[in-house]
Amino acid sequence: MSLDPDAPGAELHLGLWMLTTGGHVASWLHPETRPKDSLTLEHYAHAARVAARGKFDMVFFEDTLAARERNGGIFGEASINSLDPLVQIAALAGATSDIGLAASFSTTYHPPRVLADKFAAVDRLSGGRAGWNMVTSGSAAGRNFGSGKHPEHAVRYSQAHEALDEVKALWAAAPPSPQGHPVLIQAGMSQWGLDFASAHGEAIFAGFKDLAGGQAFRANLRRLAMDKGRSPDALKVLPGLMPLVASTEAEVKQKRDFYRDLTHPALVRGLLGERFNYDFTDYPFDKPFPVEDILPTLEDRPMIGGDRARFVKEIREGETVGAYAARMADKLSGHLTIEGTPEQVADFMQEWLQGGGCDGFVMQTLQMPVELEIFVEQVVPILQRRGLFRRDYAGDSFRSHLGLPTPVRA
Amino acid sequence: MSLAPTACLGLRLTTLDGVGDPAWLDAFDIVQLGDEADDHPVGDDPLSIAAWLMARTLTVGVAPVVSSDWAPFHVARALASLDLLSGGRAGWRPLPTANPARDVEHLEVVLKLFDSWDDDALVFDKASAVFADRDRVRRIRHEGTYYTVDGPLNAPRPPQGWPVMLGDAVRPAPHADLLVGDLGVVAGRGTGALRLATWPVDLSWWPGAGPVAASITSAIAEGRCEGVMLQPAGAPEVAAIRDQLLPLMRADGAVRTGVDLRTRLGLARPAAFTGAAA
Repeated sequence: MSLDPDAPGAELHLGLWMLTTGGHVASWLHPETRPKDSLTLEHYAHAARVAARGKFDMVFFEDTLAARERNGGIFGEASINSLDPLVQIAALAGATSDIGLAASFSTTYHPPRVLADKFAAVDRLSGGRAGWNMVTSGSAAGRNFGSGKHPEHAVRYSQAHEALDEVKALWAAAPPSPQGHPVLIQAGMSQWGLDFASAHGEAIFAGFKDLAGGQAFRANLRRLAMDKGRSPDALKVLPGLMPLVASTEAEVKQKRDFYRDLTHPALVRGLLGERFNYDFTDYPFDKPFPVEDILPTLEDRPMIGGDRARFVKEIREGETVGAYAARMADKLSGHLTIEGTPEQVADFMQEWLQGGGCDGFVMQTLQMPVELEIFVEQVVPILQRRGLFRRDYAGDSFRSHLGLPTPVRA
Repeated sequence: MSLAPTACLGLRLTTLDGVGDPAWLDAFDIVQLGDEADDHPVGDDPLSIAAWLMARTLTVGVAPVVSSDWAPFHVARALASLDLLSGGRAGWRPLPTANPARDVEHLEVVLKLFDSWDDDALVFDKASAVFADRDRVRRIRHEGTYYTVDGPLNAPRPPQGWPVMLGDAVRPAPHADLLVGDLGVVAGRGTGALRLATWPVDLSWWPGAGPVAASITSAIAEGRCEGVMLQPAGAPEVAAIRDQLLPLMRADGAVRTGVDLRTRLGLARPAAFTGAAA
């Protein structure tokens, strides 16, 4: 154990972010994607088994509590997966072995008894493989749960603190889990997030622009944890990463073009409509961005207006819709991306680990399962040969994969 | 003593104690997870157990009890997920709260959410980049006494339309597909619904598998119920059902087959939403 907040981790931890047909916005349009499969257990079970073959620490399901929408209807151009993530990981507890099973679930919209019950159940059914990403949910959820008013930050966060205390007390009174209790995951980089993560988080999801950002965040978080009497190694910082992997540099370029071409104009128009609350269905791509028309819609919806205002600022003076869309296409996922040969992708991951920028990654693959299989077959063996990643699981529980201490029961 | 092929064989489990490898549960038509009291210990969540069980079996229907205290949006989404991932094997049993009027509204919202997507809303048209048809998915805009829910659900309509609903034979919820209760009660309900007689199995007063199988088959043959819901008292009773009772009752071979649970039970599929657009 290291008590140095700047000390890099010795080995990578890898999660698979389960996103229906893949992390790329156009993944469902991939010729090898069978979109209907994304509503079957076998699709997710297969992906989880491939990840387990690659000795991943976990698979992870996010949670959304409202249908994705644009311009007064659902976002029909995008692949959906908003199935209940607890039903999904409980089913995978039955369909997989070894690999950790993590999901987001909301402290704003579930009572503590429900949270404790469900994660304890998955933990037991899976033999100690459950993890809970504690979220307070996005503002779109409010309209499906009562008044339509999503509680403000401060209220949601104090609810989260109270909920976690209650959940831990309920777990402590329940039959013991093979891993003490489910692994606690936290995402978000606000001051509140840092405080909560350093106090309770065991795996931390984050997004960074560059290695320096990761280094600063990780060292700060580890220092804060030490201030609270925790070992800095009891939290693992795992940024999202979406790699584009191909055998040669020429094939990398081909694949980049392939995914760009896959991004159907109707999908781009839908994404813009979702982002700006403006209907781009018939808007010509070669006309300048209709900034003047968009601004009023931002004022109508102050709660989410903040995000939209930021997006508007990214539009260049006189820029056409097509140029903006092309420029944004690669940024739409919001995560680190790396393009390269298997060696180059492994180099990138090694640099981040050994540079103290992270303890591993939550991987989004451009497409599932094809690109996941490529990563597992081509990149993972390199990481293993370099001694950066396990060749086999050392223990049975999710907590043991992450190298986390077992919590002491009160 | 073997059951008629049309008879419905159910089992109620409150835990997985004594179940072992659950593949043998495919001999049943439906397994109810959790009891009617809704006071299970932390970690025995019926929905999670149902999802696990579904993944370890091929054909049996899985029907968790679900508290009507849980928000209707969560309930609808969890059940739609269970039905989708199981290929149409989901059932459920809504548990009443102390407020019957609220329970009725809760159920109404859940069913509206199931129907917020038309059956044919998923298009998967890659050439025109239409995953789902926007015109076949709509908000429910429910504003009732107890719930305000805008919708739509963020999951498509379940394969069965609505998962098969179990209800208490004494005070069944509206739209219940199966009525479950004491033999005396269900026998008096007439033959309009599919009736399952609860059948406690307790080895402290167990006459043996032969007599139990005989009384079950005769109750069904006499038209007093269409099936039974075996209720083992604990793990030894689960073993007795598996090892002694089941071989007598399923002499025709163990595994039930069918398109989905609703079809197998001969239940009508609820029509797709045809109401006016919101």
